[in-house]
Amino acid sequence: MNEFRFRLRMGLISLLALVLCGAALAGTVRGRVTGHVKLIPEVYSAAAKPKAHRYAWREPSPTVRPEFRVLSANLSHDVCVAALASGAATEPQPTLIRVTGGQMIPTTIVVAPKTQLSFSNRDPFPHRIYQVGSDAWKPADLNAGSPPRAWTAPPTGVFEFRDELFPSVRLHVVVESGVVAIAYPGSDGAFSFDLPAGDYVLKAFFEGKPVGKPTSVPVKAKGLLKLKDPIDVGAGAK
Amino acid sequence: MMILSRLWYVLLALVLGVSLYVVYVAVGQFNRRNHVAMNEALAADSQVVRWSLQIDSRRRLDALLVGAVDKGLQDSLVGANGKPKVPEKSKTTATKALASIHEKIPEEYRGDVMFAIDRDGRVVANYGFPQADSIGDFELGGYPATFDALHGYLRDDCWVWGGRIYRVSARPVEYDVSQPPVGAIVAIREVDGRFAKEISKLTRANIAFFAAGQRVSSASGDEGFDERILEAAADKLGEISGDEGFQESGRSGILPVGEDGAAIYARLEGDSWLQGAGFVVARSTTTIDGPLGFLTGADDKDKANVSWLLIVVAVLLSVAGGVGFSVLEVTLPRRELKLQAARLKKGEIDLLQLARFRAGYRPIATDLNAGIERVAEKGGAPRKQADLEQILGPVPAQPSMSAFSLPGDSQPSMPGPTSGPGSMPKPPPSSPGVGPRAGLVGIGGPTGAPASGPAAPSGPGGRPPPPRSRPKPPPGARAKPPAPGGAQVGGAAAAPADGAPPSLRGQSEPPDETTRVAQAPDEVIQQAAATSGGGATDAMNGPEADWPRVFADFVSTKKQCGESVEGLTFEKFEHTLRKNRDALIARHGCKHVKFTVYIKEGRASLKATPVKDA
Repeated sequence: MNEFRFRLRMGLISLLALVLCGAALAGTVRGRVTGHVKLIPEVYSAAAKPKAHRYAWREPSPTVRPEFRVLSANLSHDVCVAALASGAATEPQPTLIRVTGGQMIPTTIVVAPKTQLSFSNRDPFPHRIYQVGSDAWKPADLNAGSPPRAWTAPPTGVFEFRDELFPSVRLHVVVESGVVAIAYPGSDGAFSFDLPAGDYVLKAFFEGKPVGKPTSVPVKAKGLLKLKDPIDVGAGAK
Repeated sequence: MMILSRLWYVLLALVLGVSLYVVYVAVGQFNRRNHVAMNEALAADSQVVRWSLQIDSRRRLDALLVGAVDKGLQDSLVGANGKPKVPEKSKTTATKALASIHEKIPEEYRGDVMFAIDRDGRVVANYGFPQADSIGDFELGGYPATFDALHGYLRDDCWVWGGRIYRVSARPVEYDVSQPPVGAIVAIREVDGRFAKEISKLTRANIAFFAAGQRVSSASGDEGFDERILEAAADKLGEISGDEGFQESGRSGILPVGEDGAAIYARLEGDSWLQGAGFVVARSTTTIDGPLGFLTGADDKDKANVSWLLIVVAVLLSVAGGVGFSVLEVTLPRRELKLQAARLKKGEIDLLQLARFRAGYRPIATDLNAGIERVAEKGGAPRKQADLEQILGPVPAQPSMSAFSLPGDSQPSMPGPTSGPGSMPKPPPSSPGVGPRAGLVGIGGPTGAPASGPAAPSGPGGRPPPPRSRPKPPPGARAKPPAPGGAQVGGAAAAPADGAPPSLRGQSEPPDETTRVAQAPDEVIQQAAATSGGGATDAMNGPEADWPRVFADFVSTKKQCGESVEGLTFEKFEHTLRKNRDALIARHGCKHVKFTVYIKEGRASLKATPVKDA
């Protein structure tokens, strides 16, 4: 526990130093994602199938228009936009994963290798989080109010976490080198980064998979860069 | 032979055997049908409970409509949407709105807890769930039911939180039809004992809800149901959770639980389908172990339905049949034997009356009669004249022999010369064709030595008197039982087998109470023989050869009875005998007729006996 606090403290100090240093040289990137209505979380589409035995009654409200009844992804939770710089080596920052409301928040995250994820139970009842396909991170009780359970990202790969007690609780972790920052769009699809000057590639991820086309972004110091074209995360989505 | 009694025993044994067979078959059939019925009832219980839960969900969804259109709730959610942090005003408004909505919903469909959720899935306010107040960023948007409601769907669900089951109803909260729903309202009802009782009361099923391998709540729909069966059913949750069929179809087969129970497990639709939650319905098995199980398992109602009248009648009929047949075949024949034995002892009869015996007693009586005859032949007790009607029943009409006794009407009507004593020939031996039966009339035998009559003197010339009995019957002809209605008269035993003079034997015997005929004096016999002439006598064959002796007996008897014998000649006697003999032969077709002397109403009389065999 002390070690965890120490690392967390060191991480915060490093982040603070980066922010202070970078603030002088950083630029802001703003953009939007579109087409997210085509992103349907698999857990909900599966739960909507009659043969899944997940409900007795499920019917559309007659006063809600059909275009609003699409089970589209929640951008603030499900779509992660990552800024990646080639050859950049940043200090990994601990990231908090909230377990609450039948899900993990966020549901998709892109992190650099060695990034530490802290799973925190924000529900008044226990969870049992585990890494799918891993014997090292087996299911363990994560009770309400108990300390977070930590997981450190390996060098690269896509990893999935689930909850034994709640089928809708899932997290997709994408580990890529060169990840400088991540952002989650708002309900309107807008997102922004504060990035040090340099060349970056913006990639959007949904359920552990890249969606949309990567966008190259040259960031200048103390400048505001508005992306001309939004990132169409729905492109190619089935 | 006691055929009816034995048949009755066989019948009763068969009835008993058939009854036992029927009872055993009934036991098996009852158990089998009861098993089938219980299986069907269990399957019906499971299905009815499922339907009941679905209907309950539907009504809860409909009841939640008042929340979906509540203005206060709409405003609070509009105020919370898009804000990084939920405003306090929105929380307050939403809390009041939820309380109001809770009151508007019918009590049976109210949720224990309600949540107001904004478009991002955050819990703006709750009703009845204070645990969430301490969690600043408590959300519910990740559950499929909430997610669906936020996207415009009405939906139910079933959640398992901390080992407890919650029934969930979620509806979208709409503010502007041109916009997506501003949020959702979610009501949850815990599946506790109260809920289980409500479902059990509706479905009359014995039901238990389980989650995570543990029984959560249970209730019984039957009054006499043993709750331990539900406990036993809960003990098998670990076993059933590993059953592939149960996991795939969501419903198990009929499984035995406990000692006398059976159950069907089913999974609850919703997230609970994947969370190992479900319900089990159980019933107790009523099994009859054996025929006595019907008695031990019967209650007062069962006993009240028994037709005691039928049972009493059946028992009485069985008893009456057994007693009746035993009386008919045992008691009555034995009583008859006892009565006849008493009469035999008293001397009222000499032989048992065979016609009055039935079945197995008749051979016994026959043997007894044969034994009596054999003893008598060996010089047993004197006996009286046999009564043909007693032995054989009604005999054919016989010519009245009163003609012979007419002379006894104080005045002899048949005068005639009497032969001299010296002319009396020796009576010829009886015809063998008559056999011993012809002598039954008691002329010969022990009765030939009357106590009051003169002792049988030697005949003229010192010749002993002729034997009064018939000659010894040929071997094999003796002791045969008389045929009913025939002329065979089993009285041959009256003659001593050794041919010894009856008088010698009769001196030492007590006087007999029965009628006796005195032995005819030899002079009378000689007279009769002389009167008939030697040629005539010689011409006589068979029984006619005995007529002189009969005549002598008749004369002697008349004298004993104090009747006059004046005018009674052998010729007249012979003429009368011949006349009657011919008439009898013509009537009965017999070969011979045997005449014997007896006393009737104090007067000497003759009795004719048809003899069929030679």
